Amino acid sequence: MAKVYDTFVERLSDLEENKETELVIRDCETYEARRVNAVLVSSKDKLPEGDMLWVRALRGQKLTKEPWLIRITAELGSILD
Amino acid sequence: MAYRDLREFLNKLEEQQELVHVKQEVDWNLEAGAVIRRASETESPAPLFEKIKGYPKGFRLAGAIVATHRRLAIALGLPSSASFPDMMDAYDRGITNPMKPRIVRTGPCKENVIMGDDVNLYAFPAPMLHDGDGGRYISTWHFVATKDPDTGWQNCGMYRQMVHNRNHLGGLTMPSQHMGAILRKNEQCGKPTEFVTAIGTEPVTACVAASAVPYGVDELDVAGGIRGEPLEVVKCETVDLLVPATTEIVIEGHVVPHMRVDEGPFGEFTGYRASPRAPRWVYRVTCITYRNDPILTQSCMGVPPSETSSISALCKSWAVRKALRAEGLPITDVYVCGEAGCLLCIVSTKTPYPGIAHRIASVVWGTQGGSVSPKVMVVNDDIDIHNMNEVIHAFATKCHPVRGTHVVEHAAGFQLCPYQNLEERTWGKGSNALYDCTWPIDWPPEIAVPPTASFRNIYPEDIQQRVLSNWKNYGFKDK
Repeated sequence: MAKVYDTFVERLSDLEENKETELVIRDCETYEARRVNAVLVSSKDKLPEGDMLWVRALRGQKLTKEPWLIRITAELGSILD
Repeated sequence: MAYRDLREFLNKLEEQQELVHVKQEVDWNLEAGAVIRRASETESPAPLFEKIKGYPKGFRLAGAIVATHRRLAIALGLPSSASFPDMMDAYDRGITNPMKPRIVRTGPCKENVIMGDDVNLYAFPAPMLHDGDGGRYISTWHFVATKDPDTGWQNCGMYRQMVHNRNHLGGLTMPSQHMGAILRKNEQCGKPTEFVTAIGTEPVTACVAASAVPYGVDELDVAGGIRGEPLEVVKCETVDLLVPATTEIVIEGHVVPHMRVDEGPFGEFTGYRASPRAPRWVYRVTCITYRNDPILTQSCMGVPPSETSSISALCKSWAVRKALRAEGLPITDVYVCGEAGCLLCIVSTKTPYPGIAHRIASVVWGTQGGSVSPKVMVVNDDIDIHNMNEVIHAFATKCHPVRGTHVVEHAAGFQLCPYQNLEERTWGKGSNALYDCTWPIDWPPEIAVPPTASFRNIYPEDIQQRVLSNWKNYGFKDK
């Protein structure tokens, strides 16, 4: 089953699709944040095996009606490292 | 007699039909927060969640325990029907007669002691309170204590804490807040700041921590004064700080200097999430002690009512009233308006000379409590300022849009004011406004001041008495 993550950005345009990007995501089961490298896309048909990624503004509101998709390519560690 | 611990207070709430035992399993992930929020907004009894999804039997969560004036009155040892001025008087009696805490060797908070690598903040059902919050907030109704490195004064304040991982918390502390000053003093010397978080104390301590006690005054002494008997406190295991012996959950550690990690956002007391996710202080946890079957207390801030409209409104009103009285101003009542997230201060006064509203507003903005109330409304002393119908009526009918509204630019700002633009929020720039809702005293009363057409004002006393005494005879149920 696909996992669910979220991330906080100032603007949706801060995210680039189809390009490996470093970002901080939260696992929505524990709400623990971590740094990863990942490929992101905005619709499921572009990454059918991807996990779900809700994109939130810095004040918490969801910026899209449907989640983006994410494929994590590398774990970079805790945000506290 | 003062409550010995949180549990005695919850029993008292139950006796007064102010507590609901939620026996159905509730998810810490948004469900508990939604229940607390709705209970606050509907002024329903406080929920005590007894079965939290994924947590062992006995680990409980209590929300909104003083989110209403009734429950705040009970917390202060008054009848639930006590008026707001009565509560201010009780707070005043306590704060002017502080009592030092009594240090005892041990207490229930030491029933379980977890140290070092065994520390795990996820062992407690810290809720995800609002959808879109920055994380699970373990500390929203509690106090965090730190010590001033120069004087040794222990400050206790209510500073939110979000769980980062098993042994780290993050939190917002503004430079103008007492702990913010202490953290910066230590950080300038490259030193960590020892802290302790006490969650689930008897009710008065958390209320005092949420209030604006002056710098250098020990909140535990003030809590003793309000309780009418000293708190019993114990020493922490790993830091040189004191906590009430009956505290449900105690988290010890140090704030890491020169380290900031993204924290927030969080649904705030103004009713919005005005401050963004941003790099903020990090707390490293070294020890957790807790009572058997611990109760995690929570406030789910948001649109009033909440604890802000009860205790914050009370202590700010008290501070402003004290300052206005000290100036000899002929005020009759003060209410830092909980319904407005404390961003509005209403003062009723006699008007012996023109311009008194300006003097009142200047004093309000000069106090610590009033400095975060950028709007001040001054009304005549015949207005019951706790009756919002009367207040709104006075504002709409007596405040001239031009002559009654006075704007003060370039004031110190309050970063959580939702109406401020991003630059104002970032830099703490602000502006204030006075709404003078008093009749101008240079108006000839018989000609210019219209009589108020209310039951209390427009009927002779004997008619009022006759109507009141016959009210039930007319067929009405109550007065």
